[in-house]
Amino acid sequence: MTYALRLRDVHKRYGRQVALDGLNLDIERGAVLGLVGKNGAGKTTAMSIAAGLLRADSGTIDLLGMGGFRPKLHRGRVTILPQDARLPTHARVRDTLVFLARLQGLTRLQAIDAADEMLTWVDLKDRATSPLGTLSHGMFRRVTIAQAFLGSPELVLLDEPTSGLDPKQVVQIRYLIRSRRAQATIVISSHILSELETMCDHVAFIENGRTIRDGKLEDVTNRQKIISYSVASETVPVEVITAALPDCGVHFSASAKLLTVSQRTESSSPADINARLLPVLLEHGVPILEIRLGSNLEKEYLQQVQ
Amino acid sequence: MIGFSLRDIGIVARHDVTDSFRSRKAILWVLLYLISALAATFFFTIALREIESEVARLARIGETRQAGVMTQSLWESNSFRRMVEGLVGDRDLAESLIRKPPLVLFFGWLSLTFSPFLIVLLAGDSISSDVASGASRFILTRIDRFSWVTGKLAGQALVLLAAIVASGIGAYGVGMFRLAGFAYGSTAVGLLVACLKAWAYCLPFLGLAVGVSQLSRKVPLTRILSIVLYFSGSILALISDHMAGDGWRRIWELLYILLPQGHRRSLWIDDPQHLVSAGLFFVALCVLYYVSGYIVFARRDA
Repeated sequence: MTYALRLRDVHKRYGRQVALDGLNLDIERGAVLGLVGKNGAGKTTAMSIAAGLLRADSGTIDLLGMGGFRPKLHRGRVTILPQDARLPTHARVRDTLVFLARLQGLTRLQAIDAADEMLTWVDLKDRATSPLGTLSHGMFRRVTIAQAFLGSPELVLLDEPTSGLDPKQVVQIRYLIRSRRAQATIVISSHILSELETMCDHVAFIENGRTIRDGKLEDVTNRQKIISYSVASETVPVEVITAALPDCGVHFSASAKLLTVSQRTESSSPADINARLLPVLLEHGVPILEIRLGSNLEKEYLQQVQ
Repeated sequence: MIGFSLRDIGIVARHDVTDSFRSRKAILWVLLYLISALAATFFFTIALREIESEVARLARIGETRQAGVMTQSLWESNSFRRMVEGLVGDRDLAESLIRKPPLVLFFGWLSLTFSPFLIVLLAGDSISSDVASGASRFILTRIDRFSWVTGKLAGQALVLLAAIVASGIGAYGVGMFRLAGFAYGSTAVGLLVACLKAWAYCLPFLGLAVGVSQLSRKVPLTRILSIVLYFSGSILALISDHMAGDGWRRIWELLYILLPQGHRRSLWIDDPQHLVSAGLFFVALCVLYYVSGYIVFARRDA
């Protein structure tokens, strides 16, 4: 397995404040990984260290199998959307992207092409000559996302890409990021777990500067092992269901009106379980509102940190 | 080991110049230098006229309509030449001073005296402001820190040159209208040379400001620190010039060499040997100052 980013036992302090306390993180090439953690958990610090903006106190960092960040080796291959970083407001949109693309090693013509491609992608071609200060917050964020994807980078670090945006803008940004999946390894930090669930295939929980859990999203949320049925009834025939699904654990929460079926072995697929369970529920007149594979990220995260 | 790329330095410098003009920072610099030169030269011509009128009154000769006629005659007299030689105590220096039109001398004094302070005042946040706003984060994942800092320094040096040349043009304009017997050609050439000398002299101060601006992301702190270091350096230059001598006092001489003021005198002598040596010292001091700041910047968080 090849990794886009590996952090090993990384420590970082700001004065007396411990930001990273032996952080370990492995991110496979091609993954879209969500970094989950509360404010101050160390997400931004981890990303900034990976991008060479902050110096780690100790530990090893390996980017694309070439060691720690070195501009000569990594420029254009590793990019970042820094959190809360501002670009000069008087600078023009296209000029800024061309300047940044040139710093990645592109020739002037290549840089102009790359900037125009990105402006088309983020739907800002008509604002190419506008000063950055005249853009709305959402448009500005799209410019910063565009710079992160300039020139086909291999690893893109996005720190809170949707913070401060309205719901429509969030959907736009989410769509943009999803459209780049499979073209690069993408690491996204966010507090909005439902958002990460729709964009990521891997996830890592960070708490107090350490990784407390990481893996594929389907494993973390037990998508292959748990099926949740949201029903419109306070009672379900649990004994009948247990008899119909002898290889599964069955739990019903009357207050949440939620029936949870968990596989003890991997003998049955979710489709098999549905085929055996749904007739029982319908036969007993239990209205089914929603079927969901696995638990959700929010629940898993809260369980993990509690 | 410091790694850098000339290509990246060039791109950053060019962008910094464009950016400075777009942000009106460069326009502010140019206007500040231009207005200062216009005002100072204007008052210089008034003062000159006052002095000439006073001399005319005392000598009971007729007053001239414009300033500069009497000064020009005085300038060309042998007795004045001997007086200057006696004053500066150096024949080469006196010869070189006398050869310059009075306006060029005045502009040279003005630009060498005030330009360094202005550059320290204006460039003390050149790096810290970008680090504070986070703008540097978009750049430092693309190029090494040294290329960025050097590119910024080069960009600021070009803006500074534009500002000094603008002040020279301002002085030329005022002189043209207000001085009698204005020598168009020699004054233009003299002012251009004076501009280049002033620019070279300002480079260490620019290096100092850029060096200090790398020490912290706090913009007011780096601005204040630049000004404090500028004044401390000026005072140290005065003390070391005064204290320099034989024996252990040579240490003051050594210290004086490490300050730009220690090479200022060479700028007044029109001799390639002096000018080249002073120019090289200014470039070396500029590099020394900003690299000292870079050593801290290279090791800290951006």
